[in-house]
Amino acid sequence: MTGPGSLSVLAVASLVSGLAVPGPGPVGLADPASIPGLANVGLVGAGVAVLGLSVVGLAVDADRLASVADGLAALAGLLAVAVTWVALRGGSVPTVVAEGLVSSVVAVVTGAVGAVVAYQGYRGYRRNASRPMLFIALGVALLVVLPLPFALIEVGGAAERALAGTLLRIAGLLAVLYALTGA
Amino acid sequence: MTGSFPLPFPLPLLQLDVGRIVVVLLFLSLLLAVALSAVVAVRGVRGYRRTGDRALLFLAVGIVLLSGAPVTLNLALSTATGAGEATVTTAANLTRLAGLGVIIRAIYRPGTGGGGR
Repeated sequence: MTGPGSLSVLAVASLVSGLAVPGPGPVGLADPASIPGLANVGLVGAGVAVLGLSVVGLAVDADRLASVADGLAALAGLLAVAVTWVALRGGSVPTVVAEGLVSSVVAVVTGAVGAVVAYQGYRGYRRNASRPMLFIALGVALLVVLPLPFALIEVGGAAERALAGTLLRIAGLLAVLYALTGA
Repeated sequence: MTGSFPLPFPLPLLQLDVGRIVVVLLFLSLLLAVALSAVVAVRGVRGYRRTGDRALLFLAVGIVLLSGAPVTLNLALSTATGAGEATVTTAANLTRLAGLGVIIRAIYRPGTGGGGR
């Protein structure tokens, strides 16, 4: 069971398990504004755990993981287009589940996958002593993993948090650029 | 400072508005991020043309999907549509997720030419 099919199953399973955790209860689900950021993190924890374990479990051989990655890219790309389309039509995504919760699930899953990618890059550096790989791993971590707390935990103003996240991403881009040119 | 007490000094004409400075800095940093991601894309495509290594191409596409594309999407959607913040963030993060998939592919299924792993 490889390829896009298995990944879709994984993604749906992790989303469902993340959403099905009985957290603040139906009241919290009905009113996304009432769910604080940290509770959101707790809610999506189970979904992320499922996804993480699946990725680790599937990473037995490189080719299978590449197939999974193809599926991930295709699925996430399709969903991104779908969400963009909904937004362009003037709507908002979830009518069934709380908007903030879906947003947090996607954010945490993105961060978790980013952590896996960064770790794989670091392993590549350790195995082959490849300095570019090290800086690519660092860049991916700075691009998607480290900005995550600023997106999820509501400390300070929205603009300050966005600025912190963007500065981290700029550092990540510089690391990738260094990997491609100088390292 | 409002209330019945009169101010003992005249208000300065120019006040340092920290909030506004942060917003300007945010805008500039977003521009810089998009520009840097374009540079990475150009470097990656050039490297692919020179070496024929498809992993470089996928890496460049992945980095753009990770950085420049979501930032642009975020700016475009939040200015041009009335979509909520969570919806815009979700679209941006899904784009990043797709980029990560492309990068994993570049790492684990190297193309012809130079070594990808």
